[in-house]
Amino acid sequence: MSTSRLSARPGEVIDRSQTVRFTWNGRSLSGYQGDTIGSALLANDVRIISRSMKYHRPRSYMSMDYWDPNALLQVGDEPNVRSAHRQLAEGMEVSAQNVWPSVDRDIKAANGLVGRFLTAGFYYKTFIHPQRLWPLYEKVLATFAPGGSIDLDTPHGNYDKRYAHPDVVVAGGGPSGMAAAIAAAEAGAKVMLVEHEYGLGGHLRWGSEADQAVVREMSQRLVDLGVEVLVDSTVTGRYDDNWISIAQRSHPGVIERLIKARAKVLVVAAGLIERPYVFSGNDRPGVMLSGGVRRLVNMYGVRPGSRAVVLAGNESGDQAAADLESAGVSVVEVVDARNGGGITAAEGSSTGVERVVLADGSSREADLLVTAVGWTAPTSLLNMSGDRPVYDASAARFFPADPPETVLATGGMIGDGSLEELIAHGQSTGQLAASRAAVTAYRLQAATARASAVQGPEPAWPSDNRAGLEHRHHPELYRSSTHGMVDFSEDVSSKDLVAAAAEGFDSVELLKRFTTATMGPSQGKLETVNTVAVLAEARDETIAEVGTTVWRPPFAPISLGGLAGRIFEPVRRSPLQDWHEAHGAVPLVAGAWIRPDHYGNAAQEVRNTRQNVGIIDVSPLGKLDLQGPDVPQLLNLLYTNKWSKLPVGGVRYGLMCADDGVVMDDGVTGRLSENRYLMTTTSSGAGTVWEWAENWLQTERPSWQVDVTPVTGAYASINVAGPKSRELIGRLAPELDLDPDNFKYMQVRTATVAGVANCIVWRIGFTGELSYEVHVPAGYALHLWLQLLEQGDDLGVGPFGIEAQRIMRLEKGHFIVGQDTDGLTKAPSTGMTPLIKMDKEDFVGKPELAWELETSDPDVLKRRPAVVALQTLDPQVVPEEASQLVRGTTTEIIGRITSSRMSPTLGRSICLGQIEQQYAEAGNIVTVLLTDGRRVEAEVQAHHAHYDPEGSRLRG
Amino acid sequence: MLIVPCPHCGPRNSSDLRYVGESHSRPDPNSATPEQWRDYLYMEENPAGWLIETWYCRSGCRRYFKLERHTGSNEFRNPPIPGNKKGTKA
Amino acid sequence: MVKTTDLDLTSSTAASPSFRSSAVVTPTTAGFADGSDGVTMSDRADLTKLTMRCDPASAAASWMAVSFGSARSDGDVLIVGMRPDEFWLIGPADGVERARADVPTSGLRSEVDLTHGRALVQVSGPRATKMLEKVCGLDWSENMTPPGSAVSASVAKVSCDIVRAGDSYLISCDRSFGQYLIESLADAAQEFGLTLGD
Repeated sequence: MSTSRLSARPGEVIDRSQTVRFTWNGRSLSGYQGDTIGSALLANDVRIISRSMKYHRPRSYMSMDYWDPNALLQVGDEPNVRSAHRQLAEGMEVSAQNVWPSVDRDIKAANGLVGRFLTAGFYYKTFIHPQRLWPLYEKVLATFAPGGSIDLDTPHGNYDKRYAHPDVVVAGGGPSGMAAAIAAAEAGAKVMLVEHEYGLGGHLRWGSEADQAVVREMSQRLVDLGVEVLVDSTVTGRYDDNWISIAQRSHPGVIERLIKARAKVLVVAAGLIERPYVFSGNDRPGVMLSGGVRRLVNMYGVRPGSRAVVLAGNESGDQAAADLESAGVSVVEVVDARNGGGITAAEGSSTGVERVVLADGSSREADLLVTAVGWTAPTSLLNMSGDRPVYDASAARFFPADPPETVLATGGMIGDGSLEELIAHGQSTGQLAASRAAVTAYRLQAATARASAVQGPEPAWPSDNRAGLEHRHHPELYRSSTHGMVDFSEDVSSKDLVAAAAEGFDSVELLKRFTTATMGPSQGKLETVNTVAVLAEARDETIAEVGTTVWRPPFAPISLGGLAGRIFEPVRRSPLQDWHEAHGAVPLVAGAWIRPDHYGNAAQEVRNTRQNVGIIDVSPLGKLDLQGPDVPQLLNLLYTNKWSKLPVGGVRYGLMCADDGVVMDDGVTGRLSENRYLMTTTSSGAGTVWEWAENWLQTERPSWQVDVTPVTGAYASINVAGPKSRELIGRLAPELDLDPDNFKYMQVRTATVAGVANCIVWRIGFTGELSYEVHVPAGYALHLWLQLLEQGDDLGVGPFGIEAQRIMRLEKGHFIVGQDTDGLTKAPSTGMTPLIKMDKEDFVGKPELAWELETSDPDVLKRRPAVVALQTLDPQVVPEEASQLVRGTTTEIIGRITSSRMSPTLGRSICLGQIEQQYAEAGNIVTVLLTDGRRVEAEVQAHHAHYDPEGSRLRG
Repeated sequence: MLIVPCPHCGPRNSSDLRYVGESHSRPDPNSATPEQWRDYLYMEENPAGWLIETWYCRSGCRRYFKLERHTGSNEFRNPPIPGNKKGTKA
Repeated sequence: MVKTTDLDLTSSTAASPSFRSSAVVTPTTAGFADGSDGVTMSDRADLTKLTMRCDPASAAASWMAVSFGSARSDGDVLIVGMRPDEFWLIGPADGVERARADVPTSGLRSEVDLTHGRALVQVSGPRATKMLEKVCGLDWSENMTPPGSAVSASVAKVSCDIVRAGDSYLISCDRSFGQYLIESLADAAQEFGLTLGD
């Protein structure tokens, strides 16, 4: 292999016996099992792997972890893969993104030449005027935008979700996190330990052999205790009451699994993220962070360079220098920032660092510059818990302030210590977490109806007696005397920030949004504190005074697939839907329901129903079983009309309004017996009306005795319509008296139909034909349907779908709530004023309807919408629904078409619409503005019904 | 996601419930002035503080009930009285 | 004079040969692993499901002898406190009919036979709880939802009523969602190995 791969290292995570082949921009390369894409590329001497977003400057790896700002690569059809984190897999096709024609020779790097024009806000200011050129700007900008390419044909992979109810979630599997998980589990808690990286150990993973022995020992203990350990998984968010989202990338066979965990206590042990240093040339390939170098050398056995300068502001720098020497890298200088040493520039060519300029002006030949200038506590999860971290200048970092009592922080985020001290703090945190979780568990169990009885009294809420961790002194090292990159992924330099502050964007939240610093893929994990520090310098204030921005969810990106999970959306099917589909029905999605739109020819279905007999599956019709002595009162309250005198065997239509007088639903209700009614609702309104009825019964009329049971699924509903429907029903229900004098329009009977007992049959007429609607116990629906087809064969029976029904109801002028009415349509506008009974003591919407009906102000009256039937003067023009009605030759809108169809029965187009009352008089000619801009004339009709306005057919 | 203390089921995820809104009493429909009625229909107290609200335990017991919640902290406490009080006004 | 018949829906005819369940599970629904230690799923839609509303503290309610959130067995019939004033009797038609006849009328407000209205699926096996945790946000630990508990919750985004008996769950939803529910559960069970029961 390459010269950069070292001989075996004691703590390496790669398996040299397993070679993994992959390609880089088409070139075949290989790495080892356990490599990340990044370590494998560097092992193959591939250094420049990306180009920066704005200036297209050559970039290489810096931190060798998830947050590495330069490491986004395309892998197969997956863009923006974090290549310093993602493990290498056999056959990966890895390529650079945002480069043209190649990562090594990038023409867009010309931007770098004009970089002084591309200052912060350049895009905002430049591409805003004139607005008409925006489509052009959009195209230009899109080709320059960073990010990989997506393949729209990529199939939805296997993503999944699950819920969890652990006592304690520990975010972070370093020494403190592991210790907390162990201690909590030892105290009896159900624990979930989530680690972002592929292995437990945190910074111990690239530490000494002794460190790694500790990791092995603690890992075994976690297994023995049954702690659920999720590696390569991220706690992405903390929400109210410790609702925790976890993106798990390590579940077998699943690309990403979103775990929604309700934790009683969240332990945040997120460790520390190393901060880059701001100086001239700090984004040059070969400038790395100490942690990145240590990972590379110790975990992957890769030599990051041959001659190194190390800027050491802390012991991580010293350790990096030692690691480099052990790897055969010549460390030409360790510049000790603790004693005032410094650097001002990394100079070199497009391939990387060649010289490092020290603060004293001297320079050193080197191809690697390692900086160790300090740490940032990733307090995201604490931010999401409401905590606002505070800055400690002597320790040169932010610390958590006062998180809620069910969110506990431990480890490096809260202070410094030896390994023993970090573990001890983790242990005491785990114990506290377990004891607090036990109290919460007790409370939840005691308050839950179905839960087991709690044992003993409620334990006291444990107070926090943990010893803290000290804040060790650390020099404040943010920016050298030179300017350099602050946000590497967004190409924002300290110079840009200073300029933006001078322009007035001098609050950190404004500065962030104007310059986009901290808004790139690293989301401020590396850049936020440097941004604040540069702003503080520009404002001549302290970092504490400037304050910091708030980290919001997600902590790390979640894939859209992970958010979607399995592709399962609830769908409702009638017991006849299989039959419909087997007989050519075109499916129509109506809310959650799948329904038959038509069986090939809706017009023919209409004609057959009008001439012979048709059957339609209207099972989605909402159905509520109402029982109790106060049902008539409930109906009187919910509907605008009167129900007290509905006899057993009677059916009545009702219009339902909300308390604002707006129509919310309609349907028929039949009285089956003294105390039992069947109410029907619109298909889409079934759930709403049920909850509506319960609301009135439970909150406003609790003394009424009515039991409401939804029975939509219990009955399949089949409407048998047409002049021969009586004959057909008669054949199937010989015992049912169908004599029109005994079973009249708007009456209900119970009967045995086709041998099925307990069918409910009522005569109603949505289609305008003589029709019987049979509500059959759903398990027998297919039997009845087949019997209707068989027994009605000689009558010409045929199924019809929703489209035919919609045509027929439009011919008949029946409005559909929600289609011909809208959120402002009050009951009188529908023409249903006779059904509004103001002499009732009360009904929902009464006052509004009273005022509506009492209004005599002519200005109000003439503009009130009215539902009317319309016919275009040209009978062949079928206006699209929602076409506007305008006055004369103007564009003054006076209404709109709400329903429109070609009527097979009348051989002409027919419409329903809403129009201002002043134009609603029968015979008025109005203008329909079609969507293609044409204007056609239409005449307002005297009746809603275009067909059989007298209703002689359905009453026959 | 909030945990809502359903008085019947016990603590439930807020997604199991429907938030009905501030608890408003319905004026007498036969004597209410338009102003009173529309205050009931459209006006909200929206305080920064304790608020009595109506919830519907849609996926659970299917009961409507009132709870008092602090809009700042999302803390719940038992509604002081079962009556129809509008918002935090007495 | 119009003659009418008061509707009586209490005699279940679910055992009749032409009764069709909403939930049709076929082995072709998915490539199921053989899971003797996984999850077994059976369609129980043919069981009679009778819901009864009772006044609290009435003779009818005390006959039920279950509180809201719990269930008990009475022979082959399951008596469930499904909601604060609503009880479910689930079992074979004759068993439910026998139990129903026993319920005191005092305080019994109403009853509705939902045999045709509810899909009913039984999932059981040592991994059944794991499977349920994938599609339902309730805490299924033994303390919070012990065997013998009854609870309504969203399962795979559908409102369901669930009774737990040991490692076995009876899950019921509106019949129209039945096919969807069983496919969702089968999908969730795949990683544990799914066996189709009788």
